Amino acid sequence: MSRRPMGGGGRRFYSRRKKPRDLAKEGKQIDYKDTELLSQFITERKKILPRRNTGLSRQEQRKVAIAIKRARFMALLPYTVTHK
Amino acid sequence: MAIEPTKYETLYLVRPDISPEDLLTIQNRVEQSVAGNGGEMIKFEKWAERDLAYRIENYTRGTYYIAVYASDPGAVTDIERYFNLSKNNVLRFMTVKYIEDQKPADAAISAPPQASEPEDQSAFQSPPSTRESQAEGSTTAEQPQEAKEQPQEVEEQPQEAKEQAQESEERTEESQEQPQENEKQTEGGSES
Repeated sequence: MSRRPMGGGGRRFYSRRKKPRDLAKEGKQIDYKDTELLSQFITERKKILPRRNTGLSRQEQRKVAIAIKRARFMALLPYTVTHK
Repeated sequence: MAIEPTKYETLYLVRPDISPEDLLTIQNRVEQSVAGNGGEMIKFEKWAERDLAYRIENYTRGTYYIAVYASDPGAVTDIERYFNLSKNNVLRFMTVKYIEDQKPADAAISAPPQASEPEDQSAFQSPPSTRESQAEGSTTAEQPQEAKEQPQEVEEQPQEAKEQAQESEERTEESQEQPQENEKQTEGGSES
């Protein structure tokens, strides 16, 4: 995202997306072993995406976040891109 | 009143060059612990052999094994204690409550939209290359799930492009302004 000096006027940021997404309706279970699914909810730099971008419900976002953290511990997903 | 024992799922990661005997010892140990606590093994399998997301003890690859069992919590502490003692073989382990798979009927209902997904993706990914390269904020989760949504997505793109263009214009303006200000400052300085 572009960094702009403060007080520049106009929009300081723009929303990336807020398209409701319901994993339960898609028939997907949130499982920490499902790296393919979880990697949809992390940025290129492997940060967990905020809910405003994932469009998940509060409950599902929470489950996804926990699953990502579990996957990270098990070395299924990286914590960062700068792993030695 | 008999309480139904909790189902646990233990995933553990062993080093890639483990000897078959050690592997078997671990498996036996897990099964013993479950049996010793009046539990029952539900599943034991090799889950995957894959590259690790980061290096653990200088290993870049590892093998995951998964054990599902129903038992007292005592089995979990027993197994985990054993894993902690065999750190040189078991690199990582994690026990979570086992969640049963959802009814296949649910999955069948949602199957049709999923089937159309690949088409959507290919249609979606070709145009907005600017968007992808734009930033960290971009997601792979942006794939439209239903074909209906697609037109909306397309509409959104021009808007975004405009916004980006505006931003870049603003930025150039700002960069032009700055030097001017600097000149003024230096002028002021020289006068005094």
